[in-house]
Amino acid sequence: MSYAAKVLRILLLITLVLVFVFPFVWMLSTSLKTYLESIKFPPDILPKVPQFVNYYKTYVRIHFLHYAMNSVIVTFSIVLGQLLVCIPAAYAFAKKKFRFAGLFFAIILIDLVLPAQVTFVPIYVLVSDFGWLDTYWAMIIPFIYSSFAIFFMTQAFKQIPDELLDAARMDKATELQIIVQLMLPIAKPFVLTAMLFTCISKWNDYFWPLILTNSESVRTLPMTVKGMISDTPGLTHWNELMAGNMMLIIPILVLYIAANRFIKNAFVYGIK
Amino acid sequence: MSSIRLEKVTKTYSNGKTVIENLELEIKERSFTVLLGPSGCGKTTALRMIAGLEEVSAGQIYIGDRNVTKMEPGDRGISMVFQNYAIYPHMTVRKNIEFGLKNMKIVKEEIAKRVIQVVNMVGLKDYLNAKPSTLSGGQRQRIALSRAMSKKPQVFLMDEPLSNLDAKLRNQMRGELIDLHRELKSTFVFVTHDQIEAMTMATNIVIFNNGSIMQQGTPKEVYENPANLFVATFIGDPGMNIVELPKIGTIGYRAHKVKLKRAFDFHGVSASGMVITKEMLGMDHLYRIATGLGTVLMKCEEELNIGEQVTLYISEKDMYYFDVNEQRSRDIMLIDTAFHRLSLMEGVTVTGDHVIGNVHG
Repeated sequence: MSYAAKVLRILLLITLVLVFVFPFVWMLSTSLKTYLESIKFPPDILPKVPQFVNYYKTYVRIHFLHYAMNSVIVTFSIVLGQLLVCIPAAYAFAKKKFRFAGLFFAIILIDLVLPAQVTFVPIYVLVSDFGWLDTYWAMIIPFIYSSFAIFFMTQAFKQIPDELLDAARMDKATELQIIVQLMLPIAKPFVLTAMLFTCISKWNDYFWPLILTNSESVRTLPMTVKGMISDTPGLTHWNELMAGNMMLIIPILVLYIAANRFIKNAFVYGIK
Repeated sequence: MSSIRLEKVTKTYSNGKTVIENLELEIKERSFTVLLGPSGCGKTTALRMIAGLEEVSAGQIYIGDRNVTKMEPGDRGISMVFQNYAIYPHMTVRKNIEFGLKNMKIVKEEIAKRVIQVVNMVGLKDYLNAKPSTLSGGQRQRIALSRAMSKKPQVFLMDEPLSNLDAKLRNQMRGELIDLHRELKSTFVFVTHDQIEAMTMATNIVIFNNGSIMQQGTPKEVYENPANLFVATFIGDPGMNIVELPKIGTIGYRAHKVKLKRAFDFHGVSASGMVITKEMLGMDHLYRIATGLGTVLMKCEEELNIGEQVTLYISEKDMYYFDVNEQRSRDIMLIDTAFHRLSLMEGVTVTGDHVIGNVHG
């Protein structure tokens, strides 16, 4: 690569980093400003004195613990449910021959490209018929099925050679053993990646809880944080709102950094 | 008892394709039986049906006296070694071997004992706690072997276990497998498309083509007495030279039986031709020679140059005859007509009292 090309590449990468990192830095800095600093124009990049008290005020104001608990319950139930539902499904699609397998997989692929707006009326009607509106069930049960998770893990399981399963069968392994002791550990980066995606999207989800719940008792973190925009008519405490957003994304960030190695493996190397 | 018997076994896939039809096969106890054939001939399917990894569409399979047709693979008292080793990549060597033993509900002390025993046999005792990814291909296949042995099966099934190894290692493993077979005193069923592997290791060769058995016998038998044209051209390195005689049959002869000098009491066929290619094989050379009989492969020690004119002598007693159905024939009438047809070919001379007498008489 020539010198010019190298410089150009580095510049391009720096631009990309700035585009993605700047909003994040802005959120962090605003969350530490006073209210007046947050609405000042032209704005300062950094606050004069970091206002950590914003975090405490927000913590109290949005009843953080209550909503965080709901978010944890919903997110982890969905992840657990997806592990139970999507892994056997992916195993069957990848390694078993059954009638209409191709058709079912095609349906899953179609669902992959459908926007949520298409499915929300039928799901709402179903959930309401079950009498689950405004409960945890409404936010969990419809989502333990995931086309993406099934598709993604099917592709991963397909990379595992059939001979390995044959060998396990010769070793008297049961189907459950094959899934738990062979498929999962070998495809670990893929399974973790799929579940991390689920975690992020469900933790941040605003749309579905909004539709499927009415009362504050079961609602999740993104809803209460969003609620801060209009809690005082005509006035938004941007600094506290950004503190709320920070508190919303920190768990996800920690999770992502912890699983970073696996995600890279899943996308770069595949199964060796 | 560890003989294997296949009775009228048929395999039809869900797409309606029948790969094996009414297969009858008996594999003797303690034999080293090689199922040999070109790819797609059904030998691997047959092996996988014995293992229980492939469902049997019709017919029965017996191991010893037990009908195992519907049995789970793990309950058949057999072990299998696969072409791509099929070692669990996330487990250490020890765990790989233990996995099956634990499923067999063998007690802990016995498992530990067997693990040590089998890794010692394949020379991997220093690698017990290594992950397979740190080991070479040959070492991985040895793990697979030791995993198979640890179950102390009556029958070992091997699906082209050497074909992923490099040539030198393959030769070495062939020797080790022969030793192992002698030590373990169990039945080995070995699938390969490589006739050299089959000839060197087998006590019994079963030659497959298009889902049926072409011939079964010791390596010597199938080499010296091929039952049909397929076996004649498939076995041997290279396979037999053939001369097709339309409406009469086919004549076959081995490349190393083609001579450059006329023997004292020569009876047979001589043909003049020209050397077109030359392969150096070490002690021997393999030549392709264009003659009136077609292209002839000749294996000999003599040095010839490409383009050189030669006369080839093939003795009558080194010739094999096959009828129009490609089956071996010893019919005098057929042989006579075949020789007569040969004598009409350009640049070909037939010598011998018996033959000439008949042709002209």
